[in-house]
Amino acid sequence: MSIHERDQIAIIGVGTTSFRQLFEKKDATHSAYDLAADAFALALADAGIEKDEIDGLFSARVPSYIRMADVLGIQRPKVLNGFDGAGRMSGVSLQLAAAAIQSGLATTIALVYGNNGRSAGAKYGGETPSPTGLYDASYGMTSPGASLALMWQRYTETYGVPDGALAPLAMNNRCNASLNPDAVFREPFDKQTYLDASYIAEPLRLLDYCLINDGGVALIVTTVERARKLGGPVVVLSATAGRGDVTNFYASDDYWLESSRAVAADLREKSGVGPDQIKCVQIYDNFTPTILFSLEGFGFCEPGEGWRFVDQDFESPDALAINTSGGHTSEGYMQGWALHAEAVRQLRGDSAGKQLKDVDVVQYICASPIITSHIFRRLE
Amino acid sequence: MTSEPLTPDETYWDYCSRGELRLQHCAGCGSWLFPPGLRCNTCLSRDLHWEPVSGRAVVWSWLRMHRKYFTDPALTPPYLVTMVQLAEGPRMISSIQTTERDPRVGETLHLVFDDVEDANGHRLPRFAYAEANR
Repeated sequence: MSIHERDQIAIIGVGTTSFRQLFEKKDATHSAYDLAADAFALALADAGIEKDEIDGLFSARVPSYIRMADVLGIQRPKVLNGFDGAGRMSGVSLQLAAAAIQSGLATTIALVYGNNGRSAGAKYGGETPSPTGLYDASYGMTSPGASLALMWQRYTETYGVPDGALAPLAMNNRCNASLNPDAVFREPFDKQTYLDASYIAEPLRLLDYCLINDGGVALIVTTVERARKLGGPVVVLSATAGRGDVTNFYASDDYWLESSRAVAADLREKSGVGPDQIKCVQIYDNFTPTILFSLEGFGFCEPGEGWRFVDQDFESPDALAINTSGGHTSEGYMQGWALHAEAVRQLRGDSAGKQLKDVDVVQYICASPIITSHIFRRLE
Repeated sequence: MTSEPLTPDETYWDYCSRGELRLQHCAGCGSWLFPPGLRCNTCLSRDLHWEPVSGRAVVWSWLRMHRKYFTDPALTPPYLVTMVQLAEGPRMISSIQTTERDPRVGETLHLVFDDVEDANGHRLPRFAYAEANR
């Protein structure tokens, strides 16, 4: 079986904790393992399979894949590995699970992610930067948001973008989250509210930022052959592509444009699907500018035009649907994982947020130092 | 008595303490390296030499930090952070010694050094608007 052969990998189960309920328990301390295990149990039930049918396990953001496997009682999987907590790893993990299944290493792999960032007091910046980050910290430079602020400031001056250009993206996420009972923040806001929000790393404001919350997400991936025997709608990973774009600085010289275009071309070659056929995208949005850079890099609009492209009525039926469950700024910051679950649900017709009609293709995009993108489809 | 050779990081700050911004220059391929390292990230040569840079740079981008991340009183927000691109090629995080106005992407800067050491005992290289030098 060729790794490029289309429609061979199915996602048969997704599980997400209620991010809202976890957020409301302000005094509770959650274990990342427990959050991942909750999501795993939900994904198993969703798939309608037994735990002993799982023969591969990838964990992410939990401290130890060994402990994770033991917590879940999956002690002898054919493949077992762990990924770090970086959000770019959600796309990478699914790619490697697909590759492992296609190569015959395992048949049914569970991907489990647990994030107790809120109750563990995660800060994403400050006194303990990376070794090279000590050079930056001397000047008070720290945090991923500040890197995106550098990129966004450069972009706005280069292309003459007015203040507030990111507001439609933040508002769209919130509007979609208002339909999602498990989203952390569900109250829609207007542009003035966006503009009145305090700056964190100017030019980025609070409402451009992902949340810090607790939660877990799990996906169960297997062959299409096996998925068909389960009898339900079959959602497949039709194609996936990726590329590193790495410098010492998170801030990319061209907003990841050249690399994103290379990934987009690779994905189009593998899937036969381009942006003109896509009505729904789930875009990794640690900060709102990332959505805009992704839209440009993946050919939904021209470079330098993304801010005009997103100045649209997202409620219009003709608008590109972005982050239908609320994204990282409103649903919760599950580092791409919940966006994957939402892509699957959108295709099955049970979206956590804004369910589209007649959607048969959904794209996932993550622009970051590892760029990944997938095409998901529902098989008839 | 022999003393341990300085690490690349220590060497960098040692030059800074004398008011010199030196970066590693590769004798193999002519590339400049920042942050300091043990081998050239272009050709992988270890034949690196600490050479002074011209001190000319342009603003790559900048931001104003409003959130307090550091206990150092010198880093009490709001404060400006600048990413500069040196004439030699490398980018580095630094800041501009001014409160008179915001920087502009692409504008020319020149190197200046703090007179006093920071909380880590380092004399920080910073930058100033080019016209201030005229």
